[in-house]
Amino acid sequence: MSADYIKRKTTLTENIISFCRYLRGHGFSVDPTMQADALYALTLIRINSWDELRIVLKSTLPKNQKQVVAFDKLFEDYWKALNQAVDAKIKNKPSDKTKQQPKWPPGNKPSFDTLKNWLSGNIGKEQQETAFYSAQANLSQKDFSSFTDDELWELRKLIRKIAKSIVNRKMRRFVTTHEHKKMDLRKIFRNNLKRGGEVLDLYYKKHKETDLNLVILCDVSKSMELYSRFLIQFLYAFQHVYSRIETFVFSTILYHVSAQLSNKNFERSLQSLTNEVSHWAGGTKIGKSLHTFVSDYAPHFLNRKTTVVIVSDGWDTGDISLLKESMAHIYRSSGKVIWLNPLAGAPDFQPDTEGMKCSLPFIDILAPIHNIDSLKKLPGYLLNTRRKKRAWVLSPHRTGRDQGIRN
Amino acid sequence: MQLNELSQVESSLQRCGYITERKTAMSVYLSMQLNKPLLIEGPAGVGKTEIAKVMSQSLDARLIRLQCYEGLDVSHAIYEWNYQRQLLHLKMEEGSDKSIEERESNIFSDHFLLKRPLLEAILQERPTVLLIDEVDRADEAFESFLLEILSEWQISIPEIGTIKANTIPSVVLTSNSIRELSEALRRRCLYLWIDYPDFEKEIAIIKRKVPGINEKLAQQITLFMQEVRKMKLEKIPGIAETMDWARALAALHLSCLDKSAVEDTLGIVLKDWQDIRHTTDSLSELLEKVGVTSKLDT
Repeated sequence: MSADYIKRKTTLTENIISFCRYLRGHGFSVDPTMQADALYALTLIRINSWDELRIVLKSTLPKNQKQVVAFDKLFEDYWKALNQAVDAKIKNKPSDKTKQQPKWPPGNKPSFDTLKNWLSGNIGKEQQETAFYSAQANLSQKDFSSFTDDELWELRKLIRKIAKSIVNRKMRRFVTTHEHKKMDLRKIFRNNLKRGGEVLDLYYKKHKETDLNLVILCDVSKSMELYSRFLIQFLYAFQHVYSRIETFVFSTILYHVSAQLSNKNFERSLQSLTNEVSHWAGGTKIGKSLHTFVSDYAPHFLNRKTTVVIVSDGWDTGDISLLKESMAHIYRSSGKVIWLNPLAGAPDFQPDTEGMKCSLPFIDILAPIHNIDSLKKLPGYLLNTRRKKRAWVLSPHRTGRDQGIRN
Repeated sequence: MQLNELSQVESSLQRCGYITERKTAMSVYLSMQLNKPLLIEGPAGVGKTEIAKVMSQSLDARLIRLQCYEGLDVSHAIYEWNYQRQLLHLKMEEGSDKSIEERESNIFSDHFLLKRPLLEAILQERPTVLLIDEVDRADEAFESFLLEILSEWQISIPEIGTIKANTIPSVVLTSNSIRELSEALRRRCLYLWIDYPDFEKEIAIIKRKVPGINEKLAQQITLFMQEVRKMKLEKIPGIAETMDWARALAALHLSCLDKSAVEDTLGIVLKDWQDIRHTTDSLSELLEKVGVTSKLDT
């Protein structure tokens, strides 16, 4: 594909424009304005060397860190290929680099986006926004299952950052209250203006509180093993930053692990976790585990303000009807149910495992969790999307819009 | 002051004590020439905000700063009516025979308008540098609002009408990438990524900011910082920490690093107790890499 862009043009302007096209082929979103900027910038600077040209283009064309990192190599490759083509007088010879060109990263294939849009009733086009990088293998696109220990360290810091952003969210916003806290002058003025400014009605405001209670149910069975290293980091970081959270892990049996995770030292947390949970990387009985949750814990932990996050791939070897029943109960008695599925990042993902299929009607949001980009969307899921209508009476025949993936 | 040439920008950054590479000077220069906001990303403490300050200094322009935070809204970023004053004014005019229209136009006039940073920047007659700091802390709604201002250079206030910019300010946005900024905002800006400095840049900064520091000490400090940043730390120290540390060690009249001095002053460099413990544990090893051998070892 990129070979098409590497054709020698006679003027610098033409060459720059085809370089922009080449960048676009590599995931840069270069629009005409940016092209114009780059060309105008070149008229301002006396270009004496390749390096000068590179710096000017680098100041105008890349728009995020990944692109900055990828830019130098692309710049070099492009002009090298161009010169080679001229030297050999073979203009359409595909360059070696074409073969090395990275494929679409998993999770961003058009087909998945289409599916996502379809399932979500085609809501946010802008949700796709930054998702297109075919540039270098970068942490944010890398599948969690292939993280090294060093990267996990970085990841833990990032997760903590994300978790913190959820805690702080909206705490500075005001809401109207009947308690006599702080005068809401704006409202007093506006509402009393109709009487010519005679102040009769008083209004008060207070800082809004984050009314988010979290329950995380995390699958640590064999099929999730590749992801469990990441999942522990995830649970640990969340447990630490957020106080109103209860964490459970399950494979064939459900464990309440909030206490174990709350140790300030991560290694010690891990130790007590492995002591406690004996069925780590065992088989999966989601139905039975969720049933335990419903019967033993749900009355204490679930209410309308609770968001339940289930992290699992949906492979269940147990009783499917039990799963369905438990999911229905969780759905009814909580505010929102989010199912994070690491497999959903795959381009050809279909929620067609038995467990997934029967749970779908009781899930508000089904989303992938397989790389950092998907993780960064988590605060949005937790805070922004609310269940539109509370289904007090369960209707299994809800419309397609309500089911499946929502962004 | 006009900066029409790249070399002028470079020398003026230099003069203001900002040591940097070509690419930063280029981005600053182009953002001024193309009249585009400059979006700067990078880890904490590498001098992102400093660029705006230096720009305002070298342009002899006023610096207007908008610090973003969670829940930042229009009334804190753009304008707010002074309600107390409006109410008082209405009370005072109660007896007068002015018509309702007159009174209304009175209370919604410039006199009662509290100008917040964005409106303030737009109303300036003289060249201004507008610094929108840590824009990723504000929410998406505010970001899209910002987009409108940055492309149209006008603000509409329902009671008054549309206010157009007198002069277009130079805008610098900084972000610590807590939240991914929208593609639309990125497209409207020139983008600059600043990373932790390399050895040459960092030592140049130390020498510039801490004049009279011992040459060997400066070298060791820089080497030490470069090594520390390679470690797994919760909070990686930036240039700000380097400078604080260099100043402290220079004030102690040290001519080179030694283990006890490092141990005593480590709190200036590292701001997390786990990091400090972790570093103290491997301090000998670390100092060896820097070329400091402790007295006990020799």
